[in-house]
Formats: sequence, C-alpha cells, structure tokens
Amino acid sequence: MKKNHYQWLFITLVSLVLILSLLTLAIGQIRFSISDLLNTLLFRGSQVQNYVLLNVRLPRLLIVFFSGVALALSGSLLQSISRNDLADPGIIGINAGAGLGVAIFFLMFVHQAKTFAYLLPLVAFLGGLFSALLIFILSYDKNKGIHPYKMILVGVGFSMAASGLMVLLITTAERDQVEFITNWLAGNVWGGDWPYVIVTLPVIILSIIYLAFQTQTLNIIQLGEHHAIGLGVHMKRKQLIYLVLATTLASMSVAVVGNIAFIGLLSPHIAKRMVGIRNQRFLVIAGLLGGSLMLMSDLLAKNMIEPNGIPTGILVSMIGAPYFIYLILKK
Amino acid sequence: MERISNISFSKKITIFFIVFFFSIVLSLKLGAADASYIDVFNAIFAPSKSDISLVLYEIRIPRIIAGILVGASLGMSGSIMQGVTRNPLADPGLLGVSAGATLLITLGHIFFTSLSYVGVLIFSFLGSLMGVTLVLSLGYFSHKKITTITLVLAGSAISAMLFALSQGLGLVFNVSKDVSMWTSGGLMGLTYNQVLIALPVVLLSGIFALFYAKELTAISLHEDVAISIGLSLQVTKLILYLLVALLTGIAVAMGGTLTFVGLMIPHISRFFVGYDYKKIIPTSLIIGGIFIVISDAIARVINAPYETPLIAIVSMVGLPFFIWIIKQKTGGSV
Repeated sequence: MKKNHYQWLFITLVSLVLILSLLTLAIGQIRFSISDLLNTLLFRGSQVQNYVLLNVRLPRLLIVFFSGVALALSGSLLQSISRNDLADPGIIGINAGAGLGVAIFFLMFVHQAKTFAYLLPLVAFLGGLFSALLIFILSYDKNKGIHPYKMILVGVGFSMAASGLMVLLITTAERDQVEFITNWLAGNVWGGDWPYVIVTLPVIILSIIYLAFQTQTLNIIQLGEHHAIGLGVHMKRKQLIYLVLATTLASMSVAVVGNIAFIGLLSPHIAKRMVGIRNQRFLVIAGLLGGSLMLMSDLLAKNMIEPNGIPTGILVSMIGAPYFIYLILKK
Repeated sequence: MERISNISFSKKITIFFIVFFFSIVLSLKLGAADASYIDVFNAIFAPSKSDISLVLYEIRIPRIIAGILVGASLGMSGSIMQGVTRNPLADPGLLGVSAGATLLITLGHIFFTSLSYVGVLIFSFLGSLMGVTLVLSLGYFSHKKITTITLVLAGSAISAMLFALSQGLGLVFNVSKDVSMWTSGGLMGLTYNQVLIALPVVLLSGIFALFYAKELTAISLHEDVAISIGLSLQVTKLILYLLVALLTGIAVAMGGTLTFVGLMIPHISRFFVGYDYKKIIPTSLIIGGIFIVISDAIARVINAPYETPLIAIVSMVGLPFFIWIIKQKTGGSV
C-alpha cells in the first residue's frame, strides 16, 4: 500500500513537471500551439519560433527547474545535518553569501554579465561556502555538534547584515550594475541563457548523483548522533561534506536565479509529510516538488504582469513565508 | 559591573549627555565639506551667510536632529518591545514591524500620487501597527507558548513576506523608486519641516512611555508580578504596543528600515542602568541618539565625498552584537 502510494505520487509529480514545462514553453509574449511546439522542437519551425523556443524558453526552463531541484535538495540536506526543520539555504544566509560573492565579483572585475558566465558558479560557490563555514563555526559546539537553533539565528542575522552590505555595494556601483543587483536581490531569473545552463547543470547533476549514493548514511544520521556514531558514521566529516554539498547546490541556483528563499524549506517538508522520512524516497519527491514549485512561480510571475512580469523570488516569498510561519507555530 | 552599578543614575545621565554633546559636535564637523570647530560654534549660535555656515545650518543640523530622532525612537521602541514581550531578541526591525511600515508606505504611494510627508508618517505608523499586530497574533494562533527564538524566526518570516509584498507592489505599480527614497535613503535630504513634525511626536512618546515605566518594569520582570500589584495588563500592553508602532513608524519614515538598532540599544542601556524602565527609557533615548549620530557621521566620512549607506554601517556593528547576544542567551544550550 505504502509502496503503491509512493509510485503514484512519483508519477503524478513527474507529469505535473511535464505539464508545467509545456506551459512554460508555450505561454508568453509569443504563444505556441501544441503542433507549433512539436514542430519547433523537431527543428521544423520558423526562424522566430526557433529562436524563441530554443534560445530563450528552453534554457530558462532548464535553469528554473533544476535550480528548484537544487534548492529543495540543499534544504533537505541542511535540515538533516542541523536536525532542524526550519533550515533553508535562503533563511540561514548561504544564498546571501553566494549573492555577495557574485555582486563583489561583478562590480570589481566584470562590466558585462555575459563575459563571466563560466566563472559565475565558482564565485557564487566561494561566497556561499564562506558564509556557510562562518555559520557552521559560529554555531558549532565542541561537545554537541551543530546547535540547531543557533545555526538558524546566526544565519538570519547573517543574511540581514549581508543585505546591508548589498546596499553598500549598490551605492558604489554604476547605474546598469545597480539594476543587476536589485534584480538579483528580488530573485529575478536572469541567467536563462545557454552558457549558464552548460556551466551550472553538470554541477547540479553530479551533486544529485553523489547525493543518491549517500541516502543510506543520511538515514542513519536521522536516527540521531549517538546512533550514527555507533553505526560507524564519522559525524563531523559527514556533516562538513553535506554542508559543502548543500552549499554547492544552493549557490549553483543562486548564481542563475538570484536570491530565492523558502523553496528549500517547503519542499522537504511537504515531501516528508507525503512519503515519510526515508531519504531514498523523500529526497526524490522533495526535488520534484522544488522543481515544480519553481516552475509554477516562474510561470505565474512571468505572465502575471505584462510585459516584464515580477521577479520570481517575490512570488516565492509570498507563498513561502506564510507556510514557514505556520510551521513555526505548529512545532 | 560592580563599579558601574555604584555610580548614581544622575551621574550616569550627565555623562551620557556629555558624550551625546560631543558626538553632535563631532558629527557637525565631519563630512564632505570640512568644518572647523569655530565654524560649528558659529553655525549654532550665530548663523552667517558664509558657505560652510550654510552647509552646516541647512544640511547638517537637520540631518543630525533627524539622526537623533531615529536613534531615540528605535532605542525606545526596542526597549519597550523587549520589555513587553520579555524577549531579549525583540527588535522592530527583526520582527517585521519596520517591514510593515515599508509595505504601507508603498501602498500610500500607490493610492496617492503625491504623498506629503505627514502622509508618509501616517502610513508608516499604520504599517508599524499592522506589523506589531501580526507579530502579536502569532501568540493566539500558536498551540504552544511562543519562545524567544520562535518569535524571532516567525518575525523574520513575516518581515520577508511583507518586504516581498511591498517589493512586488512597488514594481507592479511603478512606485519602487519613490518608496526606496524613503526606506533606504538614510538620513539624506531631510528638511527642517519634516524634522520638526517628527520631533514633538518622539518627545511626547518618550514622556508617555515614562508614565508607564513602572508597569513596564513589572511586566518585564514577570507577568504575575504585574498582575499581583494590580495592573490591568491588557490595556497597559495595548498602549505600550501603540507606542512601539508610533516610534518605529517615525523611525522608518525618517531613516528607513534599520535592523539591529532596536536590538542593541536596550541591551547597552540595561548594562549601564539596570532593569528599571524609568531609567532604561531615557537612557535608550540618549544612547540611541548617540549611536545613530555617530554612525551617520562615519557613513559620511568613510568614503567621502560619497555617502556610505547608514544601514551598511549599522549592520556591520549590529551583526556581531546580535551573534554575541545569541551566544549569551543560548550559552551552548537553549
């Protein structure tokens, strides 16, 4: 019965992702019918159709979906290692760190966004890692490991301060650079272009594959620190590895979709409620949920207001924050 | 610690006032256009038509008064909030009160194309009131007692949501520029008129808060204590929360959303004068003023002739302080 339930859920979510993808591809300033879509995907469309679909919408679709997956998995990992249900890369300041890295690099060394597509993920990762390690060190207790609540609080403070620093960067920047940063802060999907896809996607997929091999260890860690150590898990090392992994996933998505919070919080939660806490199952569901949440928000945000839409991150916050509050109150 | 508590309160207040005075003089002197102490003296007591005197009189003095008012309001509202909620981490910025003010300022700009300063103040106050109400309503919806930490977490989520809403609305209705002028502009470009509208409100709120100091001290110690000495808690709390909203609203309308100030100042004040709110309220008024005046002076000087945003300076001081408080309060175990 339980197994069946999981399979149905899996199939439903995959079809949801497919439907949302089709909608993302079809809806916009230029609309595509089903036959148009098929034709264009088989390289038989008109030039305009080809351009819009293959060079604009398809890369954006991939970026949006996979960043959603990455954020969800990053959140799941953070929740596991901190044993705190409220952890999320956006809330605990990893996104802010990655964003700061991107902004500093952008302002100091680059004057056009296009030229640094290949360095961007690395810079984001370094920024994210810096803040993650800082938070880790500040909330680490020698005897007790990561202190669950302290980690979140330090992170909250950290992301507040980071946004202060962002303001500082904005005032020193040129006018068009300012626009980039404010858009980034609001969580606007801006890296929807093939170079960004080529750079970030392999990293995300490799991380997912690595994660797939770690599910058993994650299950053990969930039993509690003492059990895990008793069963031969090197806790400190694993926690650090997973923190780096979570940072990688989060900063890849931050590098291209900007500062988006709450996806990493919502998805694992809903997933756990649906299929229980076994990592083999809930990670899959969480990833799919994260991807479809992002697709849905992006679809709405992009088409709600003509012509430019509102930043996706704003929409995500409007949905995510009430859920977060609900979680806190229920705990 | 022992030595500090031995000094009498009047002596402490005198010392604070001396520091306060010097910080004002220093802040008057420092800036893109350099002024000598003689210029400063002249500008205060005998304004002339010379360039530097005009700079000081027309730009720097209103700005400093605004800084004092913002710092004082945030300091007092933070103190009151920490007292009523009995939460050492309470801060109008962290708990979403400032975000509420920002949201309503945005709405104000959407509904009224040319919003006057008084209008901004009113909307800012209403928004703060909304923020306070939201945070308080958490207590009623929660199944369990709200702890120090859950309040901060929920507050930061409320804050995120309200900011997202106002950002979104600002973008949709094309008013984000007007709004950001109010909410992230720091203390730039405030005129005498604007400052003079806010001044009496802050002063009156401070005096009003002093009337309730005894009740506030009782509440901050323990709710049962307050009840046992015969206070009607609900009314007192309501008035105190109104004061928090009023003070935060003014601070946001003048200096934007400055997180951490309302958190730090009460802690510093308590360190100096202990737990009696009769002393905490005036102390946090003065120390808040000193803090913002000095931070604003640093903001002007650090990268002159360009302005560094005040919020960046405040955050740089505020974050370590915040982490330090968490370390103190959790002490390794919650």
